[in-house]
Amino acid sequence: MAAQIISWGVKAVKAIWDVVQAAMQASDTVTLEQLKENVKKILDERHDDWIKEIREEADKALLEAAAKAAEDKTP
Amino acid sequence: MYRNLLAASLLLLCAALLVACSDPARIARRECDRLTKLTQATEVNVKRETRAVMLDVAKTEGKRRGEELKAQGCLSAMATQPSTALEDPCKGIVAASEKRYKERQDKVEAAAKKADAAIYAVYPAIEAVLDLIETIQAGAKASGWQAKLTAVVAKAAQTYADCVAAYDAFKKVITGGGGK
Repeated sequence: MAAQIISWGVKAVKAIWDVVQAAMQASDTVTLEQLKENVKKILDERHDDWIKEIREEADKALLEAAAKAAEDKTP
Repeated sequence: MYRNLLAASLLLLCAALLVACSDPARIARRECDRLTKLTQATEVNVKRETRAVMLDVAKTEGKRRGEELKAQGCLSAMATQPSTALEDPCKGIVAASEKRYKERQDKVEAAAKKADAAIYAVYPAIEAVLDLIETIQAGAKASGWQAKLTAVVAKAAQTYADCVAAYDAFKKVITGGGGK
């Protein structure tokens, strides 16, 4: 009888542990592999030229704004 | 008897939950997820704000240049020519405008580059944590693994704190509040 109760206890502990593990995994929004892939992708897609691109766009905007203001007929 | 069994089961459930929640590798992974998201958000903000301020500076300076040229009777086409191709006083107006524009844009660019460098330092620190978690989960729990994990997580958190500080400095520069 005592052995049977111990056996049930062990089974119950294992079942509880499995449920907790499953719940924990389900509550995680991202796995370790996904996280690693995400960080790797960010680093791979990195390019230093983004500021240069913005500056080129700004230089163009400056000339357009200057030309527009100089051609403006209103006094 | 049954009441005791139920109480024991509940106790076991609580203990299992406590153990699972306090797993250092799991806590570290969650922290990595959080830091990655926060860093990405900072990165997006820096790029968006840099673009907005640089375009604003350009348009404001362009308008001023055009108006000054018009006031001096310079041809409107001169607004788009380099200062070296113009005669005074038009040349002087464009040269002064170019100087102002360059100074302001250089300042914004320098601050953005600093923030950008601080942002990209966070990712390798996160990678180091993830690599260690992977090793730990693979079963290679060498002695002192918890201390090592705590140290790499702390380092990642510090690089993120540096990134936030660089972002704050960048914000000060773009709002005209300082910076070198």
